[in-house]
Amino acid sequence: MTDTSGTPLLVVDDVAVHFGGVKAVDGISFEIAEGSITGIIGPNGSGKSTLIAALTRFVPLTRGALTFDGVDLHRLRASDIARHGIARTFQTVRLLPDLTVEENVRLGADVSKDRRGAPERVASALEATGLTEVRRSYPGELSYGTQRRVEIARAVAMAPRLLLLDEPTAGMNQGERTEITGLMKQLSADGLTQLLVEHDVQMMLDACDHLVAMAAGRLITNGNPADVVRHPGVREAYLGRKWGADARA
Amino acid sequence: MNAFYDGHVVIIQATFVGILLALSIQVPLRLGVFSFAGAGFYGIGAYVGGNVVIRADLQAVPAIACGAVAAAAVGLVLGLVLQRLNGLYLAMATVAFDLMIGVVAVNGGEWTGGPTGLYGILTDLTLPIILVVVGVFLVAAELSERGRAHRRIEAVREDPELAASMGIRVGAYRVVGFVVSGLAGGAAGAMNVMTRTTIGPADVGFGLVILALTMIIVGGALSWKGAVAGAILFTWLPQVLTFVGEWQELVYGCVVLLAGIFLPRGLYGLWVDTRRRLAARRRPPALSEQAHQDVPQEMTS
Amino acid sequence: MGGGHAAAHGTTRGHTVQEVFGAVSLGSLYLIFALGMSVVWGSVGILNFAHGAIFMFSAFLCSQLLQAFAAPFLLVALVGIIFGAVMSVLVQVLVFQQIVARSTSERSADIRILIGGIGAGIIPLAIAQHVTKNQPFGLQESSFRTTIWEVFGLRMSNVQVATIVVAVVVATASGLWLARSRGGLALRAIGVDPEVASMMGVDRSRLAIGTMAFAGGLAGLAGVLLTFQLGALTPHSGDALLVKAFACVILGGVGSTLGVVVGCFTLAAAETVVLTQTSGQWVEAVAFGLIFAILVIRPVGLFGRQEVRRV
Repeated sequence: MTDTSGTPLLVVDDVAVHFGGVKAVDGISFEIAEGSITGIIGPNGSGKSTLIAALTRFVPLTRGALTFDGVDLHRLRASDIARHGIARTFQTVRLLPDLTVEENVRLGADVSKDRRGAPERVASALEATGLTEVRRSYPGELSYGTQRRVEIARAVAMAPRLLLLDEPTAGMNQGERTEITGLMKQLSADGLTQLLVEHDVQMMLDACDHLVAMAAGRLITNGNPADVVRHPGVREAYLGRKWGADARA
Repeated sequence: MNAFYDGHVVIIQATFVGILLALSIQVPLRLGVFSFAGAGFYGIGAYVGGNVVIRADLQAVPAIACGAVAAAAVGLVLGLVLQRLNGLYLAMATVAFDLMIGVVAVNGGEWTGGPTGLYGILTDLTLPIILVVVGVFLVAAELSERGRAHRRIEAVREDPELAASMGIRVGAYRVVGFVVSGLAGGAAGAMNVMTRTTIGPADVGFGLVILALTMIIVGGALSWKGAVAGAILFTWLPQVLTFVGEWQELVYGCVVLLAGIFLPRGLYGLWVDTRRRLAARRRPPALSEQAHQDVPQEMTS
Repeated sequence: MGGGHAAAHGTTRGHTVQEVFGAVSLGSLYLIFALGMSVVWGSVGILNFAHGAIFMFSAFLCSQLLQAFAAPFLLVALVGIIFGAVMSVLVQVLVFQQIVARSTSERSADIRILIGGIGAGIIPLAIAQHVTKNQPFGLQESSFRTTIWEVFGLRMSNVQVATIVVAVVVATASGLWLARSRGGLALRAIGVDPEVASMMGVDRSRLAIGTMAFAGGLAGLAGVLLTFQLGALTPHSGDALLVKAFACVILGGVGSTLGVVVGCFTLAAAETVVLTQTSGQWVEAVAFGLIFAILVIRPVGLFGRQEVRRV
């Protein structure tokens, strides 16, 4: 899939986020097509997570514009982002310890104006993530991988139009990663647009329709995943040093 | 029973007033807002309540309403002004607010009676009125501990950033916390001034913060049940043990200290944790792991 | 208590020089009390709510133990410093360390430390109240006598002079130590980034005990000096002073030595102005109002680092 296929759901236009003198993100532009899975790759500190934070209004933009389905995100508060249909997961597990798995997921389902449909959304999100059995447990009683799936279930229960996944498989083993990839593809088949930040290049190649490569806050290239990982700039900034021979090219 | 009531009417009234005072400190804490402004609201409620009784001849219910609304209005302003503060800074700003109320009480001229305070505040306040007022707050608290409100309050307290990403207006919740704290503290102060018919600067000092904090820390900050348990415990303790009466402050200090170290969630938290641990033990073992292994086949297909 | 009493020594109103001197001596006392508190808070991140009680109880213990004989000034001061340091270390080891060891996040530790400090502060307060029946206590048995000197029409007591000298010496010494020495570097490092500091081999708990002892010793010294100056303290003398010191620390910016110096003298000057220009007891409100104003307008203080404002 390329930039032009489908309607862009999200337009990132010349976005910059500076913290004092640090240019965490410095002039990034790309588009996300409706229904696609877009991945952002780049070495640590390349600005991937800052971009996610900017999308959810946790950090202010220094420059540029984020347009989601025709709405200028910069004019919304952080709490309004969710109501416009953007859900996110975090790098670290952020579940509420005193709520059960079901209640944690219900917190996501509460976002929608359709209150009646909330129990149903919770049930289907639990089903999709394979958590139905443990819905009455508390997060502290679950394994790390399961806790991460609760996070994803909570975001899915928001019935979002765009799901931002910030390193959803960090700290997981290979089997768990495959699971998450499968889940993402299933959600994509249901029409959910996803933006994924990950380190695991193999997983990105497996999961994504579109890749965006960043280094030092700037865009190197973006497009077809196979083309992106073959791009010399990407190899130099990221794959060349770290993955070189291993990368499937 | 009646003889018991007649003999203990003052302390029974004090217990219910104590519950409201504890609630006024607890409401912001449940939202993760470390505000000790409840003691200041109590002072505002007491002086406003006293004034409307003395000057406007109001009876108990309207006077309580005046005290509560006045304190809630101040709470609204305070909540908006202090919106950007968190943690220790917010705690200290609200302590400064409490102490400021004490300074105003001393310097307020005829409105506060200066260092000697106000006297002769007589109304038709009865125990049923107190019960209804406290009951209203407890019902509201119980409702906030169920369903959607409960989940959202948990999110606002435990992880404000997460709450925002769940579409929750954290700032608005916090301001509401200040207002409710004002209502409860103001009502508690107004009822206190009427049960005792007098109020002075010594009654609104920092000692109040310590008393309310003791109740909450020991009872538990996360549920009204904790506030009620703490209020009953620390209103009756000095009565039951005369030794405690004499060394009341010392006992409170030790209790706050020990609870702060060993029991951060209070007696109520201990009860909840114990129940949860027992429930987890009753569930079939390795259930979570089993579910975990079930998933891949369906999902990778 | 506390506010502006030194200025009240001025016999003729409107005598500006006299009032300035009073403000300087008052600010010096605030500085001796607040400096250690600022260092502890700015480095190991602990706001010790029992600091005021330690100040009061050191003076109280001196007054109790030294009743029997005519102790000289230096001995009383030394005993006060020791009591203050010991109590402060006890609070650190028995309360704060326990809380930190049992806390999951820094945010929850912060507030539990505040609560633990409040609890720890009540205990000496309750004992002092019980023993004194809530009456003022003093150091009348000491061989030291307050004398008033008159220099070019400026009246100053020997205690005021001693307070100013101590404040200048302590502030200069600790400022230089923080800026120049290895230990000072470690303290500043831990204040900026605890993780990096611990990787550099900075022992946090040892530093915490050291700074708490320093802070407690200064609080004890301040207690003795103020008791000599006023003639007596009450068990509640520490409460308001604690909140005033908090005002001084945040005015300057947490962890900045220059900041706390400026904060203390600003508060003393503001209180002196209010005391001389208004009637009643509004002077007590100056610190509280100041806290509000700073936190609303510039929470990091005049010389504060941005990171200090915690979320």
